[in-house]
Amino acid sequence: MKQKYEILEHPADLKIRAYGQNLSELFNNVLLAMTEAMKPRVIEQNFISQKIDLKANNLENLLIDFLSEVIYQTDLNNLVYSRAEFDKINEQELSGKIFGQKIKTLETEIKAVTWHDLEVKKENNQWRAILIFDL
Amino acid sequence: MLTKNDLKKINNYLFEIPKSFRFDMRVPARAYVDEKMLEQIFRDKSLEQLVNTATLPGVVNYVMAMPDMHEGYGFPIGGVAGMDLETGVISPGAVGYDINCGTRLLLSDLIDQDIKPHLENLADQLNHTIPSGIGSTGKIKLDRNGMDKILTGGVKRAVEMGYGEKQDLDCCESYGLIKEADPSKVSDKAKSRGRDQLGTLGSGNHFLEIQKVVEIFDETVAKKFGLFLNQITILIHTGSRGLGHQVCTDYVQLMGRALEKYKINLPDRELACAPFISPEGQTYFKAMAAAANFAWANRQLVTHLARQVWQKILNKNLKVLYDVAHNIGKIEEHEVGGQLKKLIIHRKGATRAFPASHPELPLNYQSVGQPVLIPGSMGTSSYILVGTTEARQSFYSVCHGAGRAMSRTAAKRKIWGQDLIKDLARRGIIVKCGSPAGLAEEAPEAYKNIDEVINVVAGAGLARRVARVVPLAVIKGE
Repeated sequence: MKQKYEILEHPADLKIRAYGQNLSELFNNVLLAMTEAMKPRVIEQNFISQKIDLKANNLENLLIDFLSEVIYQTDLNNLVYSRAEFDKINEQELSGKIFGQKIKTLETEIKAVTWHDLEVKKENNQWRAILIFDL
Repeated sequence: MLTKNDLKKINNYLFEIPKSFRFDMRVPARAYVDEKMLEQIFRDKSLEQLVNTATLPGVVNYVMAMPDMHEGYGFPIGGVAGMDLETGVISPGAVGYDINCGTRLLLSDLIDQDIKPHLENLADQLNHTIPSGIGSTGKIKLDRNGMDKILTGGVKRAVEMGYGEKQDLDCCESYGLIKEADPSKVSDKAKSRGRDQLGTLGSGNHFLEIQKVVEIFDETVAKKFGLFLNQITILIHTGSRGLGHQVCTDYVQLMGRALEKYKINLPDRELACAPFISPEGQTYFKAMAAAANFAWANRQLVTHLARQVWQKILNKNLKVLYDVAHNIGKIEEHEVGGQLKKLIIHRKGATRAFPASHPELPLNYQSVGQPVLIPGSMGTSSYILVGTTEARQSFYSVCHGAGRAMSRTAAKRKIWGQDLIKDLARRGIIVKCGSPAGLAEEAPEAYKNIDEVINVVAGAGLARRVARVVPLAVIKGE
């Protein structure tokens, strides 16, 4: 089975490397990595969906804006978003829904996604992203 | 690649990377460490990050890292940089996402024997009364108007609302509010996140701790601060919660887009910045000030809740010794090239430490200097120090804590949360938390030795030890 993501070493914060055959898979695997890191205590198994529509100058901005929006929605709604379904996703635009479950608490709270050491690139037909989140 | 040979020893507690090390450095980079710590520092990228901050436009004197330094996400944690107000930049990443994360020390007039029979109950009640705010909410829900008043008024507003005493204001850095705050520069997203987070601790390394004074180093200053041996104190560590995180996120984005406009080239996008006098710079500063005021109000609300529990169980009050910020940008006057200049001082994981006679200090501390609060990691000592004139060299800045030495993932692999709680209990320390697994990340082994960190601060003359406290109970909030 292809690897979806890895949680890498960082002295204080969360550093992840995520993979995907396409952008949708990549973005979803970043969400999975974040969910694993946060270790949510889910209290309702059913998923609640939230529309999401974003436009950006480039893929790096799009990814940061997407993850910033997910972090915002998590804090606002007490939902942990572990997957997304996109009607449209390219390097400058995405439109679709994120799906979240109600939580009682998180073991680790993610404060924000940062630009530090950010990498999003396609190599050998596979997308790869490296991100650092402030905890 | 930085090596020990690139550093010049200034004295036993201070090393410098000269400006010549890299073409784009505008000033030298200084690290307050001793020889032993120097070996550890090369294990992460904190020095490289410090060198990066020396490239920011308008930076003056030196950029500095305190002995609790470790790798961050742009600016190193424990970093201090001052920029000329007229020609320099302001950088949200150099302040941090948790704007005005800081600490506040409350003093009781009780000794350990007085509270021993009540300690378990006190810890329980404090944990129950003060929410962590993750998955839960604070006791106060702010409407739009209420939020704007908090963003403008900080501690002053919280006291007006009935959540404190007038003297609480005097015992806060900046009297608990930065007047340049403008709520209209804080996004609706940020306000909606903060709406029900007032009076909450947050998670991670945030906490409330019941402590005991075990050592007095300076009797005169201790007396002035109201500290005595075996005294019970309470330390609060929290910040601006989701509101602050959103403000920083919003402005890192905004400034990132403006870099080309101001022809600023950066080695790290997370250092995104704009000239302080530019519309972007001014808007961020006003939003940052508002978020800082929110954090001060937050610590005031937590104080109020702690006082309620203290009153209910012990029928006693708690006094504020002082409240300091350790992620903040402040307009201060400092000596540059023999002249006093207005600077924007960025402190990220660093604490202000003004000396005696500084005009910004409240009257009762004028004769001795500013109280400086440095918490150790969970279960270890914390220190109360006093500011010195010698700290002029660091824009009157010192460290903010012990500093991480181990990643969270490594800590969780090595340490079991339940074992940690048992170990602390064996040492007589009560821990109240919702997640033992998460607690492992905050184990003392994951941090540097606070005594060694304080040794460097004191050895460098940046602050003087006044007292040492140890924890009796650690509360993480429900």
